[in-house]
Amino acid sequence: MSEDGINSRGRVLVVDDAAINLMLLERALLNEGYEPVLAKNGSEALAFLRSDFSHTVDVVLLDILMPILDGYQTLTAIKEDPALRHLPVIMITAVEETESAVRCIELGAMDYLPKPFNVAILRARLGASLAAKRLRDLELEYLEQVGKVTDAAAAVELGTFALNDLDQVAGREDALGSLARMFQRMAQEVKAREERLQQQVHELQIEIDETRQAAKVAEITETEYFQQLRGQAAELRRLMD
Amino acid sequence: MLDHAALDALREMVGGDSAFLAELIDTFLQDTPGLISDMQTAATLADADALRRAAHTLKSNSRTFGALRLGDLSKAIEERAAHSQISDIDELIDLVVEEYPAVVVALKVERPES
Repeated sequence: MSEDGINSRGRVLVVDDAAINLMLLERALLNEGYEPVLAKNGSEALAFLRSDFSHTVDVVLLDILMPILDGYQTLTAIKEDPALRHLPVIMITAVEETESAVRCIELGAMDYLPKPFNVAILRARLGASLAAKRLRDLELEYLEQVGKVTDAAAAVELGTFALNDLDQVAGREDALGSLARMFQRMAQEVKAREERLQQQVHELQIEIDETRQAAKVAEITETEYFQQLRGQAAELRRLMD
Repeated sequence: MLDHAALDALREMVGGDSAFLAELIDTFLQDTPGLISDMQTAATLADADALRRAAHTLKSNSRTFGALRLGDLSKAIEERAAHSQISDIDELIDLVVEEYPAVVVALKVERPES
């Protein structure tokens, strides 16, 4: 089993206390291009799902009757955990355990896999669950990126927006990407306008300062004392000539 | 003795890997005496939960290899244990003990030689 899941169609956590079922499902999953991870009971499975590797599991195949923590308890724990509840769970059930399968689906399981196993059913159930998981992952990513756009709007209000904050969302080719690109353009225009206004304010400030300076000069040069001094200076220049 | 449709499904599950099929049969032959012993102990101790789990595993394993009668007997034990009706369960366990040797012989015939 590869650690990083390269070239794998998805990582499948198999939870079953029966060694033969684990061996069989491990082999069938490998043959189908999946990466299996094995757990002997619900407690082991939850420990794995709550570890750093939890995000790498795409589907859980879960037996019902197990020691320590059975399938119902494990399924309930998964569905009550906000970080795990979106994970598709397929229950492993004997053919006559239809009632158990129904109960599990009511508890949040996506589907069930009847024993003895059939590779075509395994393939179909996994394919459907994996497609649902991928769709959910895309939805979560979309919602996260919508959040980035709303955060950007708040940042514009606070004056803390940086154009590259939205680069990732702007790279999308859908409507959200267009919105992010338009937002970036508008924010850029607002920024440029603000800079122009600041420049104008700066120039006006200089003009005001110059006018003030001129007024001060005029204030001095228009006094009687200054006029006397000017007259005396002119007289001195004349005498020196 | 063995259901061939079940064996065909099993061969398909292992992708036609004969060595792995032999390994699976060996695991079944190694594990089953222990499961039967677990059922006998659980019956003696009147431990319905332990009896149910052992019978459940033997039922599942037996059906995987097409040993339908062994699977049905295990299922009957599992169901009785699930309802805590195990006062005369020894009779059913004895039938499992009687059935198992024929399953061993049939599986050894099906076991691919390495």
